[in-house]
Amino acid sequence: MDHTVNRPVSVDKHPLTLRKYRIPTPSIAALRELIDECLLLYVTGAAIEGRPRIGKSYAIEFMRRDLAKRYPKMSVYGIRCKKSQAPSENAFFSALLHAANHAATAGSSRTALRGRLTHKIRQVAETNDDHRVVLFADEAQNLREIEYEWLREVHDDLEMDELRLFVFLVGQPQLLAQKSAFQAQGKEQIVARFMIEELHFRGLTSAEECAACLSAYDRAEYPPGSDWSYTRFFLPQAHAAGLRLEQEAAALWAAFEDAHIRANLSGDLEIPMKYFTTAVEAAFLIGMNRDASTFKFNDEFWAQMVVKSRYVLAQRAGRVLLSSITA
Amino acid sequence: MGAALLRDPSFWQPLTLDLPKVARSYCARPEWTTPGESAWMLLSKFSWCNRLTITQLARLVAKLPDEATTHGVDLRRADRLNVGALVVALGSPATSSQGAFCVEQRHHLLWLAATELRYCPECLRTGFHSPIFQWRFFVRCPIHRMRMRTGCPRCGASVPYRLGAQLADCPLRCPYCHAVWVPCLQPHAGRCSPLNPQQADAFAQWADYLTHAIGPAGHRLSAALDRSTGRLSAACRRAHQYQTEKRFTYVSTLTTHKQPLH
Repeated sequence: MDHTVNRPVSVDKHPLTLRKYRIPTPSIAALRELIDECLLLYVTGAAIEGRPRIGKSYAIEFMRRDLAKRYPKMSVYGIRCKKSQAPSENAFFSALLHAANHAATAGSSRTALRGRLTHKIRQVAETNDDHRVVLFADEAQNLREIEYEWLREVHDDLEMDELRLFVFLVGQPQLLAQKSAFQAQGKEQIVARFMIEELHFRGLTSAEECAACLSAYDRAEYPPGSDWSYTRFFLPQAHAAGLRLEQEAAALWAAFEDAHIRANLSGDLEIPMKYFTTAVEAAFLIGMNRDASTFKFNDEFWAQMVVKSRYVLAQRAGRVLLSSITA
Repeated sequence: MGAALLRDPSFWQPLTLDLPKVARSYCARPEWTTPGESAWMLLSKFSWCNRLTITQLARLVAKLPDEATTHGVDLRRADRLNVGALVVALGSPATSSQGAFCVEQRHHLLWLAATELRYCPECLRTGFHSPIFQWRFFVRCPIHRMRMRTGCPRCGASVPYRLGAQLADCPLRCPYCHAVWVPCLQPHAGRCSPLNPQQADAFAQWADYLTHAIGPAGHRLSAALDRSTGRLSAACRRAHQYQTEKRFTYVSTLTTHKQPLH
């Protein structure tokens, strides 16, 4: 690493070093279009499902910030649905109060907690002068039927208060099984409110999609407006000599594909965002020590980064787990 | 889906997770209150929105929380509450708590202020209550000209002027007959409207007048009050009986001259 480079902030303060950034992905693009359409047409909910580690929670964090940027007045909340032995109304409303940033999240009757929640949501919405309230429910496959009923009551309470609640249920594929079960049982009050729309969340499935994601590292600046893209920040001399991460998409895709085939993993390659970003972050943090105007990534380097991402280990771990269940 | 966005360069921008953290707060509705509103009404509205238990509410605003859970905190006196915490919880400017109490601290004339809620029925219906209503010598509402009342408007049950379980559990409603005292809050999306500036100004003038009339704590010889009857002195009654406009003019001069009413 060239210590004479005068970066606008130190490396340890950069969002990439701190892992405090989110890059858009094709699935996030699809999710954003779905959310925009729901907001436009007042479709009050959607079920978004995908495999573990594919980037769903990542997408929620991205969308919360994206919505805050594009609709600064709209209230956006997020909860993480925990798996519990038995559903508890107090625990459910406490979690929602926590999401709504209320100072008191427990210590009252169920009715009081529910009233407290609707008053708080209403106050924020009225103060912001936007009647739309968005709630992201992560790990929604953990929600039980009774919890959907409580959520429906909140939805109806807010509707009576002239507010519109949009619930985006994000979870693993069991979420769709839940939807089918509700439909089979005639639980239209749940499906019609929260599960009308569906979206399958997936990882990166082509070199072109990799290129689109990598271009974000070339384009984004930190600090904003400083002309210091992420690529320039970590590889300033190579960047000055014309290196761009977007051009590495084919090599990175090929490295993941090689690892996938060599490990004899089943199915077509679909890179979860977790491993994709880990590989890119490793490339920056390791590559910065070799930065020079002649520095170039090569296939061997990308193969090492894929190993460092633990993609194969994680996929094998998942496969062993599945085979032990199905045996 | 997402095809248009995939071609849009502006979409491909990372977002940093550096949004400012939103501080946890209570549901506060400063826009529902009028300056000079009583601590009883401020806390009742706060309770209406937040539904805290008396223990939680007392821990938040009372100087001696145990007092609230036993016989209640006297809301006539400012020194029984943690006013700083109250202001933060209510989300109001610090000045809003001024005039929310009958007296700042222990006062030799506090016995003249009722320990039971006294109210103007019309003011209460709109969600307003002034601490000046608590003074027993204050007979009529300066805005509506209605006589002060006590007890639940429907069943007559006594309403303590204290921060206690009743205020926390049944804010702005009767715990016995369940009558809602502020009907505008009852329906969904219900809200209170503050008094108009002229009305608020009239109450502010009266509050100044009464502060002046009562005098500082320990000053036992206030000529504004007749100690034997506990009523306003003859001079003050004259001011009280004048035409409304003249009285307000008279009261407003008190705030400018700051002379004792002796």
